[in-house]
Amino acid sequence: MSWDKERVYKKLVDILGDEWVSDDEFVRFAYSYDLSFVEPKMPDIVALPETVEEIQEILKMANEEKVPVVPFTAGTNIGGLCIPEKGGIILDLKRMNRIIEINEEMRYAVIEPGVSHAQLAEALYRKGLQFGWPVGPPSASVLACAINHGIGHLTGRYGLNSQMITSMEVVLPTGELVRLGSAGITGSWHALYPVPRLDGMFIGMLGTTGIVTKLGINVWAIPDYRDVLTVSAENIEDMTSYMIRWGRYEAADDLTAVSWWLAQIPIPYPYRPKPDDEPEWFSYSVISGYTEKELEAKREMWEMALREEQENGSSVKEYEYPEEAKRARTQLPSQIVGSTKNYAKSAGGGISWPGTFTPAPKWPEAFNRWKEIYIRRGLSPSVRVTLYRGTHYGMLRAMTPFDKRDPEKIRNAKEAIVEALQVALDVGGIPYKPPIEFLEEVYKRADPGYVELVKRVKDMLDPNNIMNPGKLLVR
Amino acid sequence: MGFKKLEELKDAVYMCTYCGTCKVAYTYGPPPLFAPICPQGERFKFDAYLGSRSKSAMAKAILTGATGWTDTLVNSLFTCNVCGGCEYQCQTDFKPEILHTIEALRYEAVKAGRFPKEHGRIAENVLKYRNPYGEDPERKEDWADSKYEGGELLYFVGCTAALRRPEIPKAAAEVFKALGIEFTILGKDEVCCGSPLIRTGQWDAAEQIMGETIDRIVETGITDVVTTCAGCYKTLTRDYASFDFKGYDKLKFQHITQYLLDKINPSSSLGMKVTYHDPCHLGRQAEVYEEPREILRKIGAELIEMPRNRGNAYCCGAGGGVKGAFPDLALETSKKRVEEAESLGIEAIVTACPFCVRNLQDAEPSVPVYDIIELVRKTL
Ligand code: SF4
Ligand code: SF4
Repeated sequence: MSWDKERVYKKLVDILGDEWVSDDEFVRFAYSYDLSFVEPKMPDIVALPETVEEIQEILKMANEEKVPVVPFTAGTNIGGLCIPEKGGIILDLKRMNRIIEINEEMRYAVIEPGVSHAQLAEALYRKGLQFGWPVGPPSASVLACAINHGIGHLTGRYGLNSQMITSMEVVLPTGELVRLGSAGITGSWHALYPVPRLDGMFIGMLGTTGIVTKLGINVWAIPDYRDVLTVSAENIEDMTSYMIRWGRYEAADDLTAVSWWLAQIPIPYPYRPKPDDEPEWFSYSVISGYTEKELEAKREMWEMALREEQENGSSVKEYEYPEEAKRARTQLPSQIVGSTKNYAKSAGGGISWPGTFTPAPKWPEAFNRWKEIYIRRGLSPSVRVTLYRGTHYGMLRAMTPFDKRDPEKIRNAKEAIVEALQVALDVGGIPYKPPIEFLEEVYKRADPGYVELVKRVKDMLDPNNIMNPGKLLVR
Repeated sequence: MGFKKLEELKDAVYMCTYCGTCKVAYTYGPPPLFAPICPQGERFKFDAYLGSRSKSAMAKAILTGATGWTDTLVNSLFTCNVCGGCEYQCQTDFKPEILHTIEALRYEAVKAGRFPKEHGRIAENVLKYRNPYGEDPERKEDWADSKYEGGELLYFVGCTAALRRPEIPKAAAEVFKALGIEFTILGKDEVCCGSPLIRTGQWDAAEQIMGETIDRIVETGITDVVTTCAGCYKTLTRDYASFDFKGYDKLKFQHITQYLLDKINPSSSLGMKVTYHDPCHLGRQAEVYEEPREILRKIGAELIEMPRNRGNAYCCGAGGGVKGAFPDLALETSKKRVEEAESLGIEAIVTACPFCVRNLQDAEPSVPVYDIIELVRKTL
């Protein structure tokens, strides 16, 4: 540690008051790990600011003192993103939890970092609105999910949650405050267009280029009619072909398929073979409409896609999901699908994934290789694929529970996941919310010009490399 | 048999994924419910305090030796109300052992000498006087106008009601009388159920008196036991069940709301707009949610629910030894709960636990706080 802890602690107390700063060993321990395989590391100090001005002062001080700062909201990501690689200060932003605006006509909301999905869902529901709820814990942060390319459900045809961003306010690593998008020009928070997309310097950057203190996000009306259409297929090839054919209509709010292992509650851990007489893949599509007729039209399109697939000899066929499972697809946010119950109820506390965006036509190749890797390592290939914005983004990931009581099992899961990531990269996939183990693989293959530009952006914004240092790997 | 020690709970602790679902109360609805659920987390905010996630971290820290009994760890452990609000949210296999883990951690802390001195005093009082208030056992009969004896029902009054909230046993006795139910009380011979000791980790002291508590009941030869105290009810039905006390298996415990539901036949209607506060020990921890509500309907109360009700009820702030050791925090929490109730425009707050009554009254609400039995008495 090259900085003076006592001095930094005192300066933090001067800014925030004694009550909101701690270097107690147990406090640091509680912030040293998350759900994932990422190795625990303790921060030196944890601090809880409440205002933008306090964050500005803290970052200015951190620059003077050259002390690392890691922004933290709920600590519920599964990529170790808030585990401090180089110690320093964790800034827990949960006290900043105001919903500043919900604009019903323009359909956007402006929120602070500590606003959870549960909190936003309650506030939006009163106005008949919804957001792209992820299947994450309801206590997770909406802002952190969006700026880290988190994904939502029921809004899949509009894209990832990072594509819902309309404006943002950021405290730069050097303490200056900036507003981007329309909020930066006119003070209205409705759009990122048609201005230069400087917001990109803060999205997907894992908190290494500043602290986003306000975020504008699109919200949508809750439709009056909904249905869940469910099918099964014998193999990933048939399922992928069906999803691409049906996905091209951009009619489904959520178009997802899961392997047999992910459909089990909880995921079999360790691996257990699928019974021969059960299909390997199941898919659900959530459709919605403002009239019965609109819903019916979408159902017709789906029947057409399904028929065309079957005429081509596909094994895909209608498959009735249990009512409860169907409801779980639309009743979001959800403690049940959103917590780790379905994934790691009894595995031993660990959960990680190779979470990637992989072109849909490459899913079969990736899944078949993942299956081999996972089974070889005694893990269930509990894979999910989802299409976003029609067929534009193909999400491919494997929920991987493991037993944290045994270092050998943690290592095994981690190696399986990294191996799976290598396969995804081979076929054109890219990881999201990546732990550094993934970035090591990414940078091996990335265009050198891209890597250089990431470094330059980071250096320009954060000359002393204080923001979540090490997490982006380039610095 | 007996209390589960921390080491025995290790596997359960490792079922916690650190997902954070326990940080807030949430149900899908519709409409969705979102609300704070952890009183100590509301106060201290750090993740080291918030919900059962912090308690699994604590267990891991102690079990692996990653940290010692740091000041914050001890403070977080003992400012917890053991209310179970977090447990209600959790969906993993840690859920059934969350409260046991908190109490087992407290037991370890007590052994390590890291616990609030007020809790130590409670243990001394119970061992010496058989009640946590250090009162002369004779005073347990002060509320009673006669020594109730006979009948097929034993009314286990509990220390708080007998010594601090005499209006509750008085009301209960009048209700029994009005219904023509003969009953027995143990009076000065009634021994504390041990709840304050068990919750605060003073297990050695608890184990010294629990057998005696059951013996006194068994000696009466009566098997139907009714309590007005949510804490006694939970303790006698849940904690004692993991021991092997002689005669215990023959006993049938009921909370008074369960016992009275099909017996009362009100002669008048209360006609009062009330809200019902679920005591943690009766609701979440013993799953008695509907009987008190049905009784309120039966006596003609207009029941308006608080947003946080049943499993999502917000603790009154008293439980888990917090009232004794951290009275300011207990009051801060009860004020929040009272505000929630008052916002409904009700005429009274009703609950079914003397400890809740006391702490909610301490918040000086603008409307009276009643134990449900007091309202039942008004209508008979
Ligand atoms: S206690 Fe339960 S809800 Fe809380 S973090 Fe652990 S597993 Fe999740
Ligand atoms: S038992 Fe109650 S006070 Fe304790 S951590 Fe859980 S919610 Fe918080």
